[in-house]
Amino acid sequence: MPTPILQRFTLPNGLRVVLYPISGVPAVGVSVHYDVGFRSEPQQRTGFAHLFEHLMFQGSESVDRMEHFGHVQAAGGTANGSTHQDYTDFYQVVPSAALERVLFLEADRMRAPKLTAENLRTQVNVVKEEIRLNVLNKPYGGFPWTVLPGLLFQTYPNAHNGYGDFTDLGRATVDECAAFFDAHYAPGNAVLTIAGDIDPGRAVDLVLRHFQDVPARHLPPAVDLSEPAPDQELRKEHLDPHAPMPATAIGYRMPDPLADLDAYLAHMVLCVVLSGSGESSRLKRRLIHGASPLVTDVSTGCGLFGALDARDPETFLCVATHPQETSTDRLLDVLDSELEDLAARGPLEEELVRATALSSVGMHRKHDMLLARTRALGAQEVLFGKAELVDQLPGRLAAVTAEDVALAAKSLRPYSRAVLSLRPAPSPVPRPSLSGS
Amino acid sequence: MIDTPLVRAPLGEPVRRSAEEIGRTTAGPRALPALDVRRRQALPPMTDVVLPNGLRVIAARRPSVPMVEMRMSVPFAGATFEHAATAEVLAATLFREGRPSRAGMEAAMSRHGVTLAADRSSRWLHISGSAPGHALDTLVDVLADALTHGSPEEEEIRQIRHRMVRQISMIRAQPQVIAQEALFTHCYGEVPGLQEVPFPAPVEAVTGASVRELHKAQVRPRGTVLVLVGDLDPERAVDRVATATRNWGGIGAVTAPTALPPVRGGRVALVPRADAVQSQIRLVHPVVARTDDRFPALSLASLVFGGYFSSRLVKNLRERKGLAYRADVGFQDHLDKLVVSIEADTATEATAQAYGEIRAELERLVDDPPSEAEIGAAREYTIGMAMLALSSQAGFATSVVTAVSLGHEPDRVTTFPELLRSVTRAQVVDSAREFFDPHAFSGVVVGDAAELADGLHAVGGVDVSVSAAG
Repeated sequence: MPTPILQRFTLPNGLRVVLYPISGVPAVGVSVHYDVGFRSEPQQRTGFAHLFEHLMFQGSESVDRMEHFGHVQAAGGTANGSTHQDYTDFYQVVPSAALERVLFLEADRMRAPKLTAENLRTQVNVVKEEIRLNVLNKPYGGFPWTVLPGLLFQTYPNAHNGYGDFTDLGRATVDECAAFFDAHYAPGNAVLTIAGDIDPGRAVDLVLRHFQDVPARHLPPAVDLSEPAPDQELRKEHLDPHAPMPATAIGYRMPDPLADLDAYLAHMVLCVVLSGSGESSRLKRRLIHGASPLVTDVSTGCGLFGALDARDPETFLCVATHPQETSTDRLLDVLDSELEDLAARGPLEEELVRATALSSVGMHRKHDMLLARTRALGAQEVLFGKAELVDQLPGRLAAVTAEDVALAAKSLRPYSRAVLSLRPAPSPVPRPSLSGS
Repeated sequence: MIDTPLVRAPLGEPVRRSAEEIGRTTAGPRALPALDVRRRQALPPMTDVVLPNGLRVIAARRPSVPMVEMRMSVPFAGATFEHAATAEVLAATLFREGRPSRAGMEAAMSRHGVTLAADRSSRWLHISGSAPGHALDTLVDVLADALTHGSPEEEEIRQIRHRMVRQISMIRAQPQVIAQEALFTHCYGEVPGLQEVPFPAPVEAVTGASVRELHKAQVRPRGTVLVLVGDLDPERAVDRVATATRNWGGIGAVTAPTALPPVRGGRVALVPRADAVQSQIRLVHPVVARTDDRFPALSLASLVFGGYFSSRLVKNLRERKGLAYRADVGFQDHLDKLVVSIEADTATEATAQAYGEIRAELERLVDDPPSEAEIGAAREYTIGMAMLALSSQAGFATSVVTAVSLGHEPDRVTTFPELLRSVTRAQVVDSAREFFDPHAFSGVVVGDAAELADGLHAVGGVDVSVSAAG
């Protein structure tokens, strides 16, 4: 099928709109990406951006509390939201017949959300349950994304835990929610993406009908995220009461995707060379599939939440779970020797061919999902002003060279990284035994 | 329209309003727009062939991206813990690189970015793969080799065993897994054939010989379904599979899953888990088979009760009371039985209240049965989600292989949504009464038992004296 033709325009109130018609799908994806994530949340209010994302589903002037999901789901669609480092997205995928309804719902909460004390109190509890589910009550919960930034970075925006701690969540007030909305949820701070079964002309009419009277507001200055990379290897331990065996997370700084996209893409291909699917990737061969394996699982990745999902500075990750006998130093020795070899000699021809092919087809597969493609378009537009990158990625990843990968490997230097060792922690308090009653 | 990147331009002065001011406009509330006329989606035709060896091959052309998705389900039931362990190891060996029989194929796989992977459940060996459309032959050849050459080296098996035992220790520490096993044990006693995650000891005992034996006995074409969807010619794809698998034969009959004992109704056990700060509530009740005439109405009753975000239970537990982030109602296949399951994860201090609310909502489903509006919403949601799944290659292939594995024809993916349109409110009300009796659910509450016992006892219906370790 031909690549869809992307169109974009800006409303007088500043709202940026990306239209992306796809033939042959019976549905439309609609997302709104606001240019605010947990790196923009106030000090002593860790987790606030995510908490506020929950509140945006709690009704607006024309939509009663709990009705947002109802209106979308009763039309045969699904909705959700998510909070990342630098953006918060709200998204729906619905049968084409529900496009106008979804635009109405998104416009209504962009214009006049209902921020009440009761909704706030309830959602603080829901968010705490979410954190218990995903972090506190299970092995390796939130590892490494909630804890590694605190070691690799120094400044509050980059270093703090974006899920937030319970004390901070409990302090949030309705007035702070109002201030956060006024500052960050202006139409000029958002990108609306509509992809799938659409007639672009009609889509423009509907966007104007529902969004053009959302008043323009002042935009906040961008948060300063810049900080120098570490000038040494930083090490720390993290205790996990549920983990049966240790894990190690290693974090490096990555190239700025806006300033040097090719270098960033080379890191993505490097990840596949190091730990892509199959037994032959470098780290899997050395650490897992040898005669005496050092680790149980190992993975590498670009970005805390995936590649090209945040602005600079971002993290290159290597995470391994391993038995107690494998020391952190032993693990690092293997990683460093593979990186040194790749830096000096580059990947073998067959390694490069395999890694670029897997990277490229992986993008095709991901973007065959309408929702994934819609969200990717919006994320690339809000972060980098480059929605079309979504269609260019398969080709650009396929074009990464051995020299590019060698340079990427060379940039991951031992003396500028964070090494966080997760240790299984014994229970701090003896458990009372249950007596039969 | 412009096609240059958009600029985020600051406008005006900072605004600072109260929450009340933000929540209203001078124009006031607006009316929700009606839905447009819904168009029916035309699905690509499916080529559906049973090959002479018994393998069923279903192929459809859907060239939305230049890729092909493959899904395969091989009947893989067993009756012992040893079977579960051997099956798990077999799945891990199936597509290991470095087999002499596929040296040339692996180079082609790498060149084109072809992927193949296998995993097992208590009833099936699942194989999934993907390839660019032009590399379909490579995908099929490697698959056929794995199906016909089940001869891993002893050293390979040793390495897999060693790693798997450690992986199992991590999986078995997950609260979801602990709760599911506790639920099985509570409902059925010890039934090895239900086991999803093997025990470490039988994994340690797996040998190359036992893997080869299992491969020979159960990696067989009869009862197996293979689905290919994407940038392909369906007839040609089926021919290619037929040629590649011509030496893959069938021996004997498909192993039937173990018959489960009846679920002990109305008993809920408290199961302790060390260091828990959140509890897993898991309740089940046996229902009719998916092929039963009552199933469509039952599926709508289940959805209205707790099967999606707009349901009664999720609205109550999460959105009104903040007692849970995750609450879900759905169907689980326990071997040959279908059960409706209620799940909620809730803080220790909120567990008793959440459990009480679940029971109250069950009672309300009978006392205040689903309305036309609730049923209509659940119906549209199911239809919409089914159609959406079919709009990607991966979703299409998974939907079809799942339907056929569960005993339906491939067109179930479109006929089931249509079936829902004919369900009446009376049928849903009957279904609620028949299958959602609060006293008929069995299950477990897993968590900090010492903290939970008194509260759950006060709500009632929980046997707090049970303390079987999870």
